[in-house]
Amino acid sequence: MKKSFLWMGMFATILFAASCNNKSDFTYYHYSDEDYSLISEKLTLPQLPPKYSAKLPEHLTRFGLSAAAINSDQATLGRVLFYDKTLSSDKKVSCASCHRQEIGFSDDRAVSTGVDGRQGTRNSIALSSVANFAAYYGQDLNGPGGIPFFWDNRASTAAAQNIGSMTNPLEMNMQDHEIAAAVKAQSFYRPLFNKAFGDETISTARISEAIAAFVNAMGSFQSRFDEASNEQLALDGQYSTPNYKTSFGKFSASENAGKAIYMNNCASCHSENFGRPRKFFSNNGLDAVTTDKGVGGVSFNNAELGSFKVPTLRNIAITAPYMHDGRFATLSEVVDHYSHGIKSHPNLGYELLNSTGGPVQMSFSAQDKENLIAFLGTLTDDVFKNDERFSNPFK
Amino acid sequence: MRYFFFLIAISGLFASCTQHYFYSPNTLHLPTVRERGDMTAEVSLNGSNQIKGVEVKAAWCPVEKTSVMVNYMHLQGSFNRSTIFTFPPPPSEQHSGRGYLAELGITRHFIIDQYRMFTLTAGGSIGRSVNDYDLNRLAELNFNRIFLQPAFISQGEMADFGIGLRFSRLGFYNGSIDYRIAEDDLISIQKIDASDPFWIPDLGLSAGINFSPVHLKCNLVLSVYDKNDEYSFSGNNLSVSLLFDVDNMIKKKTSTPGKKKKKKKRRH
Repeated sequence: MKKSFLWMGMFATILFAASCNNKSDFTYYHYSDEDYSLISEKLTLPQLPPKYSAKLPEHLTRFGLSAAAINSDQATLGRVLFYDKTLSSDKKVSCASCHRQEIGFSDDRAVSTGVDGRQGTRNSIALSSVANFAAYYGQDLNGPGGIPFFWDNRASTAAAQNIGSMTNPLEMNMQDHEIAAAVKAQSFYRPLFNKAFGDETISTARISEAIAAFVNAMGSFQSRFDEASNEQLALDGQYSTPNYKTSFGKFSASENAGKAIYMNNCASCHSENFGRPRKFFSNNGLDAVTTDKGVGGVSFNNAELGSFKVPTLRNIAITAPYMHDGRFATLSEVVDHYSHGIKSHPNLGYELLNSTGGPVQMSFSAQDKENLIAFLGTLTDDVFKNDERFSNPFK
Repeated sequence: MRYFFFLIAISGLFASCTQHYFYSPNTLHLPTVRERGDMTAEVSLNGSNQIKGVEVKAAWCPVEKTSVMVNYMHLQGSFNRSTIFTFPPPPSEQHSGRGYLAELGITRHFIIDQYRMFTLTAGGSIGRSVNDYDLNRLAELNFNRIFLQPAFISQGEMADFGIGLRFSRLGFYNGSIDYRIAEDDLISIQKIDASDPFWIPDLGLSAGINFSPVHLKCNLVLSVYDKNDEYSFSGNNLSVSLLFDVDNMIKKKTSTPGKKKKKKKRRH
């Protein structure tokens, strides 16, 4: 009996000890203290870099769309480079000068202003106009299903695009070797390159790759449209793809009416789910006579003259002005164009041709116009435009 | 022969894998000692295609029906994996992991008859897992564990069998983690950090054939914890071992030459 009490006492002691709370004390480390001090002299970066890989909403993944895996250290370095004005010849222009986060990484000017006040020729494309940049544009050369860059589709990759902008005399006006030299001159880049690439070697190719990682991490997929589409998906069933033509419970009557107009008149080019456009480029009847060759100027194909990239429309309500040359200041003007302003052009997209071969006039009523604009407002992603991971890290 | 097939069958539980684990249970030590002075030592080879290791176990009866045990396990493994995403992709990285666990326990033996007994063991362990993600990226976690382990042991002339349940409280008391490790593993570690401590039940099975004073044994531990995947815990462990009746071997060696001493049978 005595022994049994002894045993019971021992086990009770163990159980008592087991109930004591000794919470774990984990230390996550990334930069050394010395490196972090160096970085923090000029930048506000978290000691632990945020993760940049995106998870797309289910209504898009059901269609097979997926976001690319992103190296968060490269994206962090890319973020700093994206906002670094020393990468321009007058030290006053960065990528972010023409791609402002608060307006969906677009520019509110019709054409952007580069170094020394030089005016560009086209409107700055909104980087947050896609569900995920890498998913939309592809992450490697021409594929798979990747969409080329610039309004005229002249660049194949995000890396080629950002080098193109940095070396464009109307934009940042740098030479290849000057880009690397400007970065090398700033000591805080050394630990960032070390984490991103495994050593401190700074080259233009690595700079370009890091900016591409940052840009490819961009994605706008937390809009009311996505929320409502996911809800619809849940109602439609586990194995279906969402029916975007059904009225969404989360939408107002006006937004649902606008969605119906969009699906019937616009989705054949811009897509129903705003994941990928149906067409890479098209002539949308802006001009009867070609003033800007667009895609045709790159491909030297006359049938593509006056054609431009078909953008998806995420965040469209905050990325004015519109079209490749920023000619329309408001969405109302854009809708008016499609309602009664499409001009005849030999290369006009077939979706915009009527039965006689002339341009379609969609003839929206005032109410249609209001509804359509209300629907386009549901594509705004307020989370993305305030996401700290994409903000300016410079003090 | 049937034991051979048994080993092949349960080896199927350990399909090859290419992932890091932050905790792996040792096989249960179901002590077969029972009389004062009884002593056993057991050496085991553990693991699967990816994780291999060794276990050493010892048990000794300082007093009648009470024994103490000391156990040690070391596991390690390696595999190739890519966690850095660039274009073009880099060559795959050489990942590896290793861990150890050392423990001390005390067992009370409740004898049913000369062939069967119940045991109740209480003990504590300390352990460490080190996962290497290549490119100087490490995740090191230190843990301790206390446990209660009721078991049933049957000892025959030719074969032994044991079954036990181990109720463990597993606590990770500190860790040092490079933030650049694979993101899914980082998420697992953060979950461990948030959820610690863990109450984990394990089922242990042991079967062996006797070539006294040596026993050939197979030990299997199966976790019945349903969140092993969430925390990247390895639920199962298998070992093949040799168990030595140390006290018998010592007595045999020190017995007077010419005088044949009757070998002690571990049955009561």
